[in-house]
Amino acid sequence: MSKKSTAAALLASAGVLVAGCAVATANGQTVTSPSVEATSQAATTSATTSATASASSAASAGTATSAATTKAATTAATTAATKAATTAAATSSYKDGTYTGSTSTHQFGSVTVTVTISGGKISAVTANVVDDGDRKSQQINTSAIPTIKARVLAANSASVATVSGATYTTKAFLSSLQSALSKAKA
Amino acid sequence: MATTLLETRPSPDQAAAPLTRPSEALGRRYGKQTVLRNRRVDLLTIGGWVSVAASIALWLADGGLAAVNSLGTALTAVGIVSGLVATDLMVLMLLLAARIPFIDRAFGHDHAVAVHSKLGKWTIGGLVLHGWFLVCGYAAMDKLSLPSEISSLLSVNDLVLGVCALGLLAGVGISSIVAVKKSLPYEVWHAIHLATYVAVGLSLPHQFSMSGLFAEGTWERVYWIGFFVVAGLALLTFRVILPIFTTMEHGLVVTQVVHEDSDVVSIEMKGRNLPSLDVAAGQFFHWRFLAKGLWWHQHPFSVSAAPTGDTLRITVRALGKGTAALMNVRPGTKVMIEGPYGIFSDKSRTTTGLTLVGIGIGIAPVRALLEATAVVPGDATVILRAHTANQLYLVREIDALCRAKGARLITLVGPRHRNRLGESSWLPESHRNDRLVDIAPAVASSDLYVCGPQAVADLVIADALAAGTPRESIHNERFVW
Repeated sequence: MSKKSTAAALLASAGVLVAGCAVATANGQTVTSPSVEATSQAATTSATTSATASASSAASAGTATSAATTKAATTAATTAATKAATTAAATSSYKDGTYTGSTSTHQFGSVTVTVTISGGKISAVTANVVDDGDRKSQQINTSAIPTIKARVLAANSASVATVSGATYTTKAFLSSLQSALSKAKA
Repeated sequence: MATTLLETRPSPDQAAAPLTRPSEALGRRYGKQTVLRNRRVDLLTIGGWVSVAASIALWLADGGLAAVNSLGTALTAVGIVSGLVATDLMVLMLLLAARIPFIDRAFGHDHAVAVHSKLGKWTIGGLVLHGWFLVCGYAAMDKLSLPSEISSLLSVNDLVLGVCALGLLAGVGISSIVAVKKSLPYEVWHAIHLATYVAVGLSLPHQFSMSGLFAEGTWERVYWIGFFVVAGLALLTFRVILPIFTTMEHGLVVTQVVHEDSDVVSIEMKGRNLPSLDVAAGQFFHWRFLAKGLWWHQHPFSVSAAPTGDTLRITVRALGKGTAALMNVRPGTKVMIEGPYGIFSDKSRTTTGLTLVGIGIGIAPVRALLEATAVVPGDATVILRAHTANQLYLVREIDALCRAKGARLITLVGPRHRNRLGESSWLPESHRNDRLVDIAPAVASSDLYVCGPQAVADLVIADALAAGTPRESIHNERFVW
C-alpha cells in the first residue's frame, strides 16, 4: 500500500468521523433539551448512592430474563430504593401519593407510567406497556423496562441515561414519567 | 549427501533471440497488471478503514458521546468504541474469508493471510478491551467493586453467551499461533477455525439486547444489519453455493494416482468443461475426496500442471494424517472442489524477469507456474531445493520445461547449513557463503515466487529483500496454511 493511499485512507476515515460528530451536534440540541429540563427537576443526586448500587445491580440481573425474574428484580430494586429513600435525608419536593402520567406513544407502542411517592421520594414505578405485537418489540420492552425503572428509582428522577438498544421505549417511558412527576409537584 | 548442481543453460538460439520487442510488450502488460492490482488493493484497504471509521461515526451520530458525563460513562464509551471497532474488523475478516473473487485476486493468498492474522489479533484485542472497559465503566457507574459487578453481569444470559464467544475466538487465535508453529494437525486447526462462526452466532444475542448496534430508529441499525447481511451472503455464496455448483458442473473424478516417492503422490483428475474454471496454473483449490475416511476434511493444494482440456493434477506429500490418507486415493473417486484461489500465478507478475524457488513439495506449484507463465529466454531462473535428490519432485518435467522455455534450472540438495550460532540458512552446506543473489544474480529486478515450508521460504524472502527485490515483486504461497 502506497503512502498516497494510506493518506487517503486516513483522510477518508477522519472525514467520516467528523461527519458523525457533526450529525451528533446537530441532533444533540433536540435530544438534550428535554433532559436538561428534567435535570432542573431532579431532586437529590448525592443521597442515593447506596440505592444506586443495589438497584442497578438488581436491574442488570433483570435484564433479558423472563417476566417472572423481571418482576423479582424490580421488587428488589424497589425495596433497595425505598430503603435508601427512607435512610437518606429527605430533600425531595414531591408530594406523597400515586400519580399516573400521560400515555406516551412511540413508533413501536406506548407507555403509561404510574409513580408512587412516599416520604417525598419515588418509591415505586409501574408501567403499562403496550407494544406493537412484534416479537422484537416485546423482547426489547421486557429487557429494557426493568432497567429504566431501576435507574429511575436510583436517581429519584426522570433524568436517567437511555437504555441502549431501547431508545424509543426509554424516551416514551421518561416522558410519561415526567408528566406524572409534574403532577406530584403541583 | 553430496550436493548436485544441475544447470540447464538455455540453448544458444533461444538465448540469442531478439529480446527487445516481445519482452517490451510483456513488460508493459505486467506493468499495467500491477498498477491495476495495486489500485484494487488500495481501494479495498481504504474501504476497510472507512468502514471502521463509519462504525464509530454512526455511534457518535446517534449521540454516543452525549452520554459521557462521568468517569463511569467515559470508561463505558471507551468499551463501546473498542467493541465497535472489533466487530467491524470481525465482519471485514468474514468478508475476507468469503474469498470474493474481486478481493481474492487483488490481495492474493499470502497477502490475504497476512491481513487476516493482523485483523484477527486486533479483533481479539479489541474485544478484550471491550469487555474490560465496560465492566470497569459499569462498576464505576454502579459504584460496585469489580468482582460484584462481574457477578451481577454474569446473570445476564446474553452476556454470558458473549463471553463464551470471546473465549472461543481467543481459542481460535491461539490455535492459529500454535498451528503456524506446525504442532497442530491441519484438520484440527481447520475444525477449530470453524468455531469462529459459532462465536459470531453466540455474540449476536447481546448485540441485539444490550448494545446499541441494532437500536431501533438509528442509522447504526441500518449499517450493521447491512454489513452483517452482506458478509453472511458473501460467505454463503462463495464458500457454499458456488463450490457446490462448481463441483456439479465439472464432475471431477480421479483417473490416475502416481506415486512420485514413498510419501508423495500425483493425483490426476478428469472433468467436464474445465476451461470455464478459469484456473491459472499455480492457483490452488480446496479439495475434498468423496471416499470413506476422506470426505470430511478438505485440503488446499495447488495444481501441479497447467490445466489442459479435461485434466487437472495435484501433487501431494503426506504431511499429516489427512494428507497421508490421500496416498491411498483410488481412481474413480469423486472430488469436490472450491476455488480457484490465490494469485501464485501469471496474474501477479510485475516484471519480465522471473525467479522461481520451489522447496520440497513446494516444487509442485512452481512447476505449474513455470509451464504457464511467460518467460523471456535467458531472464528466468528456477531453483529447486530439497533435502535429498529424490525429493526433487517432478524434476524431469521441470528440466524439460526449462529447456523448452529458455530458463536456467538450479537444483540444490542437502541438509540446511547451520552457522556457528546455530542459525539455519536455506542453502545447503556447499553454498554456505552464498546468498540468493549469488545463485540468481538478476533476482533484484525479477519477480520472485517462493513456495515451500514457511521457515525456509522466509529465509529466501529475506535474502531477496536484502538483494533489493521490491516487496510487491515477491510472491509467497503459504503452502499449507
